[in-house]
Amino acid sequence: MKNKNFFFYLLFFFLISYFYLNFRMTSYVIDIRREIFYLRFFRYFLCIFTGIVLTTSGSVMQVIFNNPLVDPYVLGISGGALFGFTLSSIFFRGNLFVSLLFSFIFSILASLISLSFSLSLKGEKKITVLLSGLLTNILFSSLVILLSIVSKNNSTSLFYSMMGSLNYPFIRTNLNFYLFVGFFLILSIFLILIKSKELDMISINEEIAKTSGVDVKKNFYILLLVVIFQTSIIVSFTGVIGFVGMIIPNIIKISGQTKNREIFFNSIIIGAALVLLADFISKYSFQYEIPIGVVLSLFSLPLLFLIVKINFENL
Amino acid sequence: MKLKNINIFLILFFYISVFSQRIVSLAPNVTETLFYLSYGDKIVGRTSYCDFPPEVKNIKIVGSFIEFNFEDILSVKPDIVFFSNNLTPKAKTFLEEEKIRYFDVKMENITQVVEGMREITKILDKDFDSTKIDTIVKRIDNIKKQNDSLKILVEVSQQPFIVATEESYIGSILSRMGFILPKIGYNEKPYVTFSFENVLSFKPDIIIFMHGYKKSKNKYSILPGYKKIKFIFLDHQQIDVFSRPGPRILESIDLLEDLLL
Repeated sequence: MKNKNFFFYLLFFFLISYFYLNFRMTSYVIDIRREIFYLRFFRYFLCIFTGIVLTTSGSVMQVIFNNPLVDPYVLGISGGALFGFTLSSIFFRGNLFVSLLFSFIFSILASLISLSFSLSLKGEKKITVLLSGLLTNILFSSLVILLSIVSKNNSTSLFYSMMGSLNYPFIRTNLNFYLFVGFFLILSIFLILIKSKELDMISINEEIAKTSGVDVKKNFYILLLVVIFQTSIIVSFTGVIGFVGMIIPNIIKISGQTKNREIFFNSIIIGAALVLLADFISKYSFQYEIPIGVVLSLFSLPLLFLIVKINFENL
Repeated sequence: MKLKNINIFLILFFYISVFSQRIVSLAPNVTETLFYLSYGDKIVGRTSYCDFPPEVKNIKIVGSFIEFNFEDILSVKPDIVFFSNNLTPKAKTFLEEEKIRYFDVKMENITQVVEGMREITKILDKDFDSTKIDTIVKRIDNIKKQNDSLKILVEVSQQPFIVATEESYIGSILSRMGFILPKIGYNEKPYVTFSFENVLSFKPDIIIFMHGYKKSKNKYSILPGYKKIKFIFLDHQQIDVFSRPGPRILESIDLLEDLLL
């Protein structure tokens, strides 16, 4: 790794990890520490996976859509996944596999709706994509609200699933299933890393990529499917968490990285660290937990404004 | 000699299993009930909304009404966790995973309050003198009644416009007192959203406001008998009493009798 920043980021990540895992640990009674550590350790891994997946999927989408302002949340993919998850939790109570399947199916549906909206709109593509994503988001969030009003049970936790919460109750007997899912997530991230050279070509110019033998369309669909897969899994664990995938790759681009491989590596580390930090804040800032989406949106709003401003000046 | 030892151990075991119960109460009304039934010293965790009686201040907060901090719950090592109509699927999986006993005590209307209290004492099984519950039952039986069959509307919130029905806590007391409350067809929810058309057809004689926004009185001015309607505004403490179905039922019955009869 050539850049010095990477090691700085890595240090930052380890520092936050240390704090996250050890905070207030000494205030607990010794015989309960082990249990609490298990609980926290599971959540720590969930945080890391969330950060990694959201940032990689965001940066991949920014390349394949050739638009720096998209991520799975903006395009409505997360909204579709949440709808599928809510549907499955009503009809198949708590079955993990079915909920993952449902959220995957509905996030595919959401992305199809979003894409078809944007294709049928005339005008600047960078803006029509965002608008169609907005429409899809409205559609699916109102469907989720409708579902949870009709079925009385889920209405209390609706708020936390719509703003995202990492307070996920792990079941030890399901450990193998979690490992299985985690393995597939890691596999999908590797697939993206392998494709990073082709993504470099695409991000420079689609025509040049075509002439040098990169099948742009095929890559587009494969990578979109991978992103949808990743996002739907994470959403069915944590709920919708927005903007992480948009902000972090852009910040790294602003700081001077251009190669996609470098952007991926850096943004994975920063994404994981940022989600850990946000979860830490959401856990301990009040006497009770607040949704992590609230924390992330509040803190990232100035950055978001900056990114939008820079990108629209180049438009 | 040996037999004696075994007996001592048995007594010790019994003592530990009965008297060392550590309770986490995740609903304000259950906390009040536990203190009323003198189990207060066993509570080791509460929600951020539990603020009555004042002794609860020393107890650790482990969550809000709908979101609970699992680490904190685990850290106080509870034996029993109480909910009241707010058991989320997440909390359920967590408690089943950690093998902690949990109970969802439904205390919404006046009969459920008494049943809930009995349920709690049964769960915490202690040879218990039921005088405290009996006083509540007696008080409920002796509610003063009015015979004019007046119509009463309890406005819980202004925006959205939500009113209490007979299934709610305050509604069940009022209906025992002989008042008529709004009813929306098949709906048996304690609190329902209401529209102004419903108000016009209901024609209330008395309106109680369970929120602090006093200007919401103005919107009833188009009702035909506006000047005859009795408006009652509750203060913050009274609202707390009426929104928590628990042992303060004695207080709330007294209050309603003072206000209305």
